[in-house]
Amino acid sequence: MSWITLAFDNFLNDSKSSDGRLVLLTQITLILFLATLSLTSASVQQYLDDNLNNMLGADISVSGPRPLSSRDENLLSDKAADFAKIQLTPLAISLRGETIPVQLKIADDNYPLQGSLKIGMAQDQTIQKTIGHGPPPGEIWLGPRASSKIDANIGDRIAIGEETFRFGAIIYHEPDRLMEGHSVSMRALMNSKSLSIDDVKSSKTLYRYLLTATSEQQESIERWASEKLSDFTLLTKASGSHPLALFWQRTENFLGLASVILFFLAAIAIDMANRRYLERQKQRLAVYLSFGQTLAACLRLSLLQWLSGFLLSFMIAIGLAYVAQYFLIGQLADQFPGITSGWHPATIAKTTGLIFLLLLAFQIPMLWQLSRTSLVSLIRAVEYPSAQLLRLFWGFASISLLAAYYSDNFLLTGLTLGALGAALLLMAILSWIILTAGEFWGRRYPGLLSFNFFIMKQRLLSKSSQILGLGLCSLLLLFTLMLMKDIGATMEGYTRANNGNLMVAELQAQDKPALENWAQENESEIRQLRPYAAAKLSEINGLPIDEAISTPSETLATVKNSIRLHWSNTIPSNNQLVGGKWWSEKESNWNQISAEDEVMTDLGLNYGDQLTFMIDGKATQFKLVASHAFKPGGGSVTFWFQIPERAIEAIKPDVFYMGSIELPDAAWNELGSLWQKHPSLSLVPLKELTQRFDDTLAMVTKLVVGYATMVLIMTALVIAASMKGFEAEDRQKNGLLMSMGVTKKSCVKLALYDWLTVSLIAGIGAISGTWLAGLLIYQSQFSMIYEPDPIWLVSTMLAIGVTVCGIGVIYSRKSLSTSIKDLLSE
Amino acid sequence: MDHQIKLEDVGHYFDTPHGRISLFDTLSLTFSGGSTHAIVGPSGVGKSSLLSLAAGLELPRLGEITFTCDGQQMSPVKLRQRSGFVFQQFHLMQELDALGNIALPLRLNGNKQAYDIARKWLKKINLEDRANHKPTQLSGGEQQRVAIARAFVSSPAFIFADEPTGNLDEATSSNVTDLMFEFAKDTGSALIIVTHSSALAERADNIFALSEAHLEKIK
Repeated sequence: MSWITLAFDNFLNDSKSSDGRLVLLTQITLILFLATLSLTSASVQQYLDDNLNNMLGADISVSGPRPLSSRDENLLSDKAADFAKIQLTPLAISLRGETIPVQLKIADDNYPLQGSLKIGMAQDQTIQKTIGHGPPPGEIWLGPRASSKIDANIGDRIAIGEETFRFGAIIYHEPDRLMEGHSVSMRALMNSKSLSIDDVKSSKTLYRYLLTATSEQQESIERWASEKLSDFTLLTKASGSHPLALFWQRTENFLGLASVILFFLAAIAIDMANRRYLERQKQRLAVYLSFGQTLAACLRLSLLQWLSGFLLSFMIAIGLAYVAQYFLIGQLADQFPGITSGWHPATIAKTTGLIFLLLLAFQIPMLWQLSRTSLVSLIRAVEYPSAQLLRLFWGFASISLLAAYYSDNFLLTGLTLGALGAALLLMAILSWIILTAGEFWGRRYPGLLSFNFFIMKQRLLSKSSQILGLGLCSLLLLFTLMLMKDIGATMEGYTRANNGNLMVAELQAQDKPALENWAQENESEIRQLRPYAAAKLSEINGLPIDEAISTPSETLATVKNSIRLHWSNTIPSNNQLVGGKWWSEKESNWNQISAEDEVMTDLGLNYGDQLTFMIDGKATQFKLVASHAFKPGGGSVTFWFQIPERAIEAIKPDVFYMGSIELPDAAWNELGSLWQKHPSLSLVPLKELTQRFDDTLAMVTKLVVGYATMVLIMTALVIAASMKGFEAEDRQKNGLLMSMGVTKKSCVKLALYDWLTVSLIAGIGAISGTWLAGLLIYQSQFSMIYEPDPIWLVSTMLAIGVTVCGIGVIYSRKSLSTSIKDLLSE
Repeated sequence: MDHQIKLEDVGHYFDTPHGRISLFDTLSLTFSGGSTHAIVGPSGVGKSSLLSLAAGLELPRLGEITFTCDGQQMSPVKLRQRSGFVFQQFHLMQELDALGNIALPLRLNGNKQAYDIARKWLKKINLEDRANHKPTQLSGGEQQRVAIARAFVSSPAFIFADEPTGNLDEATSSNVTDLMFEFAKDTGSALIIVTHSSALAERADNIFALSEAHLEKIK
């Protein structure tokens, strides 16, 4: 017990020193960030699990891009105890000349299968009732947003094309709401007897079958569906896999990589603060050895002392993390309605375990150094081996392992770590070259500057670690700021890059002449209109995509739904060939396909892969022969997958178009009439698109600003640690110089030269690393063309450098006033 | 008390990048328990190294050293549990006050009366009123008195002192010397001192003079 008390006493004594406080603060910041992340993530996960149980509205749900054949439908209903059929389709509804797009759910009489609907008769939600059936034939029920947007009152006649329907109720809750995921579309519900649904064709139409089934029946359905319905998605309460789960996992993985960078900074800060602490601890252990203690007992004490610090950091950080979780969950309420924060002890235990192991790993080089402690050092000077390389290697290895554990995107992780490694190497080489050259030059030209190089060269190892630490920190800060600036600019630029002010998201081939006529009549210019067919990727090299790809990505989530398949004999003007060979017009083999470069990377596709697409219910196989990428200048509409035109003649799919139109101001009022006649036409005004981008941009900005703040805090800690860690050496140097008659002013000058040299090398390393990271990461990971902005890079780095130099010199001035006295007392 | 440290034909040297530095070879002597011993000689002949070897902190390059406590031969590591040290630079724990420094060895051995015993030793060195003063608030002489009390507090078999008065003025040195010899007598601990001070050496039962040529017992 006395060892524990002593270890705790030692920890308390050490935490009164600035180094101790720095380590403690770094640990608290790191644990706070990671624990908040884990807690928030666990709350979202719990929400998703609960949501799946309560919001599926059935035991099993089967969804696909086409209706089942009557034979398959009968087979399915035979296997289930109860059965409801739903169709979801985007359509335009009109009232008093106002037209809006809605996601229309067309349900049969068996809907809802499990749970009930909540409807109301007024916008203010005051009169609500729960009922067990959908709207009767002839009625349409609207979601609150749709009814308010179109300004409808109960009893109004809502038009879809030529037909009108009575607005019967406002619908507040559907028991199968989960299936809509995080869609923000306005909603409407109708009875399948109201509308002849075969009239309505859309590549976005989804057919869903809700089933009540025992677990044996569920197994049988799952088996049957996996064999017969490769283009359908099956969801059960029992097997989990919430539609948002993958989205959240990807978010988590991205944040995981962000945590790796923060870990990196924390490792640097702790390593620097530990420099002085190590000396003190070595002396302490040597004294303990003189009392007859064994080295093993001394190391145990050291470990216990570290553990005390960890426990205190843990308690403070976890308390704060719960508070932070509460606020973050509040922010996420828009994405996950009804989400609440929780305690999640198992998650906290797991996260703490991981942080504990990593922080412990950072201590291993120090423990190794401590294990070399000798009592002889108290009697005469003993040279201890430097563990610089061990510390560097150990830190890098721990961080790489952590990165591998967290990241689902090995390419991004590899590129990030590669850029950091290259920058480190560059700074190490530069430090040696500049200091050696400076010292060599100084031999001929004596003075303060040459003395600065001489003294820095003598302390090459310790100065290098200061330079590397500050350089890495600046690199990470610079890269974060640059990414934040460029993502914002790209998103803004993207909205401007669209041609025309009205996007045609989907147009059926039969409606094309009507749109062209309308455009002509209203002096509107169709800027682009490109054909496509709805297709769903079902197999890669004969394997279902879930089996063929295990790495989650945004691309994978998208290809699990129907995608747009475009055809062209030549490379479109807004595309460029990245690799492989594009087909020629003369070739008879039409089973060829080109995929966008980014899609190939995300899905791990290779040339020669066989891709099976379900097009209008029929499986068609294509060989991947080329990859393409977007090229600015020829219109904004581009496609992930493209096939030869000859393929369309063979497949004969339903044809849709997407593109853009430039409308003069007067034409906007006439748009309603076009929409009303062709309700399946999907149009998105650019203003609305801009709004959506702004919302996304606001969310991304919030995320990046939060992250940049964390990086800034960590950077501040590293800078403080770097100054504190070298304070003793500087004080001794200044004291000696002043005792030799060097003036205070000259000492300050010397400090300035020292900080300028450190900042210069760190700055060059940071700018080169940022440039390299931008070059490697932008194109491959964010599909952004990296255009280095040297003025921005240099001026931002100058600002960081001037701040570091300024604080460094102020700090040195402060230490000068006491240095001679201190030296005497030493 | 049957304690003894016996050095037989001991030789020692250091290898540096600029060549070998030889200190001594074929050196033999015995430090018996319960007595006081002084090692004197000019700087650089290896007095501190001899002390390190005798304390079992380093292994000799040549020869053999045997450590005996209570009639039983023991390893250097075991010997350290029966040893105390006094250093020229005092080496007090800066974060602990005078009382905490004296109590430290006892606390490390799990002694629950550590502070009570330390307080008695504080009285013996006449610093009861400075119990809560940190080393930086004490003079050199006071710091060395605390260091001496800390070395003797667990009544070790051997006390190794490396230039204990090297940093002190004459009057303070005399005071510190008195304390060391008084405590050695009271506790029965053997005292092995490396010193330049002839006044201090004269107080010892045995004096060994180390020179570049050899070791000579002059008392």
